[in-house]
Amino acid sequence: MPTEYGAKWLWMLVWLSCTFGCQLKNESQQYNQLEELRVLAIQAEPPDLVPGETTTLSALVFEPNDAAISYEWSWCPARAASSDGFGCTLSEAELAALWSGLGTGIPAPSYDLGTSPTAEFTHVFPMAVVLGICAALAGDSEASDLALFACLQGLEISVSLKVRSGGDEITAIKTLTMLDEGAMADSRNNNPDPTGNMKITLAGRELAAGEQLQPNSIYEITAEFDRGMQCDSEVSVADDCIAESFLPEKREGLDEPTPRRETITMTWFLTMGVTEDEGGSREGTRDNAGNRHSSEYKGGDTTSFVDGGELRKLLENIWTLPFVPEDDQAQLFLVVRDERGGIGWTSYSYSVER
Amino acid sequence: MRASIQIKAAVHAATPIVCIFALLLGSVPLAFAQAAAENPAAPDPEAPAAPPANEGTTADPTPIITDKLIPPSLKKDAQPLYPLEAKAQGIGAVVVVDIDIDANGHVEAAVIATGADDPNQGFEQAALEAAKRLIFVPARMGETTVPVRINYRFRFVPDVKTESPTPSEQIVQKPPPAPPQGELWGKLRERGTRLPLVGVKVTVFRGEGDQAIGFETETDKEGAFHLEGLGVGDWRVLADPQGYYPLRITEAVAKGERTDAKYSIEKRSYNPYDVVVETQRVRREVNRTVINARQAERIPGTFGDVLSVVQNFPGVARTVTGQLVVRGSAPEDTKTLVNGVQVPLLYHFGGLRSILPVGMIDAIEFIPGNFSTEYGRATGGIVDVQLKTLAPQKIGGYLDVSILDTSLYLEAPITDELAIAVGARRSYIDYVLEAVLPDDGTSIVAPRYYDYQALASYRPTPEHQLESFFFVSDDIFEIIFEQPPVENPEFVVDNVSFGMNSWRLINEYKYIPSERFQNEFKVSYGHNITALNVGSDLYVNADLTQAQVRNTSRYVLDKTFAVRGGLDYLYQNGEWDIRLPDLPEEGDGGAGGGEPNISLNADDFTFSANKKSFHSTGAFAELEVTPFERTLVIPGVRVDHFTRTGDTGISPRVTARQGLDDEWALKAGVGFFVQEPQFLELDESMGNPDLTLETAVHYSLGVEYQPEDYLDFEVTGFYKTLDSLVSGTDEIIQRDGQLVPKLYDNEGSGRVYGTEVSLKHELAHGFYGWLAYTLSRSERQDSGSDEYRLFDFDQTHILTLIGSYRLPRNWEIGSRFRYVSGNLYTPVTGSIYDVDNDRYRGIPAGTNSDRLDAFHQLDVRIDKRWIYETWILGAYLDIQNVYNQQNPEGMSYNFDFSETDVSVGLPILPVIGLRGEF
Repeated sequence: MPTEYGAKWLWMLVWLSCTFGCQLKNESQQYNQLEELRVLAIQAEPPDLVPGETTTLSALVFEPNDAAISYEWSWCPARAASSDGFGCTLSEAELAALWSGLGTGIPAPSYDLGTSPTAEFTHVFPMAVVLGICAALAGDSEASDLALFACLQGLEISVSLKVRSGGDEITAIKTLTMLDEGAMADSRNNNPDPTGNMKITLAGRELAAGEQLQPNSIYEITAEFDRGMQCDSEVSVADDCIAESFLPEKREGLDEPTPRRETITMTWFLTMGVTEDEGGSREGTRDNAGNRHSSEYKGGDTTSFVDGGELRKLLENIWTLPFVPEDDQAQLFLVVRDERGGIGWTSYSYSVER
Repeated sequence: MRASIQIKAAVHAATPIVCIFALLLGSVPLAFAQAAAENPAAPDPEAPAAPPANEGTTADPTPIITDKLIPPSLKKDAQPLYPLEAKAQGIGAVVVVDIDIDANGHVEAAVIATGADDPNQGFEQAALEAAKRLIFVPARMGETTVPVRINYRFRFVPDVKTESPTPSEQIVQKPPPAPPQGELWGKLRERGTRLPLVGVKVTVFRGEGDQAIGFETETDKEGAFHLEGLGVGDWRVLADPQGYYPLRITEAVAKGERTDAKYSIEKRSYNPYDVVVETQRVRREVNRTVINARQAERIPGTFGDVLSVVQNFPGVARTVTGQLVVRGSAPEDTKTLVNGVQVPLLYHFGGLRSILPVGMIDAIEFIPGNFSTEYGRATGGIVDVQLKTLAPQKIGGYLDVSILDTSLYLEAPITDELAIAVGARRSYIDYVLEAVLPDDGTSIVAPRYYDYQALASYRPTPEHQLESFFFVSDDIFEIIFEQPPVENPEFVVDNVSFGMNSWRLINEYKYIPSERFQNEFKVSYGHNITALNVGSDLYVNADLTQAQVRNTSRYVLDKTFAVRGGLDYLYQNGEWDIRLPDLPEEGDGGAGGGEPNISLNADDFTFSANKKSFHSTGAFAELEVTPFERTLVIPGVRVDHFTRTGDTGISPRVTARQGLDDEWALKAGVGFFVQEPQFLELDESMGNPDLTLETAVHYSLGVEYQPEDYLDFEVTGFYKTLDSLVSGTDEIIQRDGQLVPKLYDNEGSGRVYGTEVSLKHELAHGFYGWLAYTLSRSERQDSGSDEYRLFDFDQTHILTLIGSYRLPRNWEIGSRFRYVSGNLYTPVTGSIYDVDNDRYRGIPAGTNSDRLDAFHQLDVRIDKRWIYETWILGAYLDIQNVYNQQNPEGMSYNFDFSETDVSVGLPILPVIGLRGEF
């Protein structure tokens, strides 16, 4: 019985709290401070594919010294666990052998996607192929008889990007969902687009375009997207909100889902100074009459928009510049993720008085 | 010490005082015999001739002569005064007086042994007054004079012509009028506890030298005594019971009145360690440790939590949360029982504080392996909490206040057969946190727990004993985030809440009609409700009802054989609704941590909802064979059937003990043990319902040396094999026509081997403590693997040193030192960036391939008690980690695993507490 676990529940609470809250004490570098080679995001446009569709893969990579960056793209049907180094569970040769037996007339896609800053990947996996791959992943060659539960919901492949610059190397992985032919158009996802301006205010005065930032100053910053800011109204009302409305999948054990807006996460990355580490929203409240209310909250280096919250508030932050800047240029990157694998970013550059 | 001799001597009349004497037997063996007129005492040639006997009196000294003792002889006689009224009325009497004669021949005390038929005539008083004036040639043992007590008979004979006087005949003169008299009624009790002092000698006396007069009596079962016929005026009262400070006080007795007095005598020590644990020389198990609850309460570093003491026993690994890892077994493999009955949880929040008050606990029994067939459903060890059999002599209890919680305990006798006790405790850390935490919009219901209990003992006859125990425990904890600290949009956590409520009723009936047979019948029933929520995607709601029936009988066939057996039935009915990610399993990262392979994508959480009943029936039997002196062999077998798995486990076991002499003994045991997989491992959605029983074989061999009653030294080697262990697997199988992940199988195995050394010093010479050292290795082999790896909680060295010393004036000081091998962890050798979850994921090296630095810590505890008239105030200071050692408890990493740091445990932590006992 669950009570046999006893302390296990306590352990889980401790683990969860540490997962969310525990950080290395005296950490020399905060997560959102960019000091070395980093991969901040990988975008697939479109983020999910129907058969025959091609997605373009691109990455937001930060290199502190503007040195040359080498790219190495690849894909894999399923990523192994960390104990196996996140390798591929099915080798390319094994895939080729399986593919040749399916008689699709299409050559098996190579795992290697190239070394350019961008790459392309085409969905060439009819359902029969999906079933075959799934069966192979399960170690069962009877592809015609078996339909594995995990793959029935759509094959998820893993894309990998390895970047190198100087002596540093980073590997990043991202999941791509291969939909079947019958996927509904309104269930398709789109990448959020946070492009737009950022307003910077110091002591109530908005900075002019091109004005230098001052060291040891505290700026109030607010991102303003060109579109997708109208998130306050009901989901049923057509609006322009960066968090798309959709019908979530039924999750076992939870109530029947209703249409809602995606939960999106916004993360600030910066090359200089610090931002506030608080942030986030919770679902807006409703009174007995169904009227919506929202609470006072503010943005931070990582914030989450949950349906019912106020997006505008979450795009505010406080940016404190160091006393002695080490560079005359400061960059801000804002990466926006939705809960369905979509991702987008924007960046801002400013000169800093030294 | 005095010899006692009965002498029939001069007859006088005395006041009617009836006294009870505590005879003080001397070191000289004596035969008590009635003095006989035919055995007169041999006159001392140096003694002066006694004056002629007074009219109406005769003296008849008749000493008892042994081979070694030369009795005293009268040196100077004394004439009692014949009461005039009695003489005028022609009333005679015989009064026997007990006279204490010192080594110099003087009378120290005289007390009426047998009074006159009519106590109102004044015969007793006259006899006593005369007795005080007697002088003897002292008794002699060889060349040495010794004090003795003699019976001296005074016979008052009216109108009897004087016969040829003998040296001991007295001339009785006309006695003066009887002096005014009063009574003294007293009660003795122990200071602070108010316990009656039973069987204590009380001496009441006054005067000095030849004028000294005194009486003795003894307290009854209520601690009461009374003396009648005391002369008016001041009397000195003396009581000097062993182990107490003497009582010396003066009381005034008034004419015709009764003087009442209550005396509280302080004990020389109120150390609870005075209750000595009696370890049985011949035991059933190879290793069995028993500790009295009051001893356990004072172990430094445990903050008075009695159950925590088990973590200091040999064979028990150190864990942060207090989980019990016994001889390399997983925490869930060891069962904790209350009076032999299975109880799911005995701790608040899974390990913070035990739910049972120390007042209701008699002792903690710990068996690390090779336990008897009466215990089952476990492959690790057994902790059996023994509740107290109530027998309070008065209403009493305590109020305990610490920084964590406050508890109250009361016990009371209702009748001679029935006694009850109640207890309650509540934490208040929630009040403190609410007062000190800033209002930043995050709402916190701080951890709060409470528990309450009731215990009743009814013993209508010595053969029948009934006990009933009921307890309730409740825990709650909640955080509501105004701004959820969510970095993963797929798992929003805007609140965390935990609640657990449980209650249990345990009834027990013992029937012990004779030394040959005894029977124990137990039935328990209870309910547990668990509710855990982390956001809206992760939750555990479980409702469990549990009932257990046990019966154990033991019959002694003869001096060689005894048979023991019984039944053990467990019923569980559960309803649950759970949604969880894959929780970290043993082997995922070690006790010191590692990169947990947990997906925080709520879509990957697993769900299970169901309602089911499970049964488990066990039957056991064992034979106790004592073929020779100091030899005990106990073969036995237990059969368990589990409806959840459909399996039946047969567990043969045998233990043997051979005493070599009064000090040395050898012991050995081998046994088979089974247990069911854990609940979630058998769940249809979250586990594999086709799993079978896990099994273990225990081997142990040891030697025991007990040079003194208070010293016990043991060395035990042990080896365990673990088979059919539940282990994770990636295999996909068909179940009910569908392809499902298998999740678990029974392909895991393990082995544990090591040595335990234990040296225990029971309370003696003011010191109590023990040393426990374990050297061991615990390994596991996972499903699909050919190699063994270290178990998560493997600790090569575990050393615990505990000592407490009793100081004067009710001070106690104790310390505990521990040295333990560092926790294992799985190091991270690299990382990749997971774009979907916006976090880096570490790439681990071999499971449990590295170990943190060793743990060592010193804890100190100081106790002081102040003894007041009717209550005792105790205070303690318990300082954990006295020298503030930064003990590593786990590894932590920065966001991309490029930097590491060691998480350390608690710093120096002083805890104070107060307790009032009454």
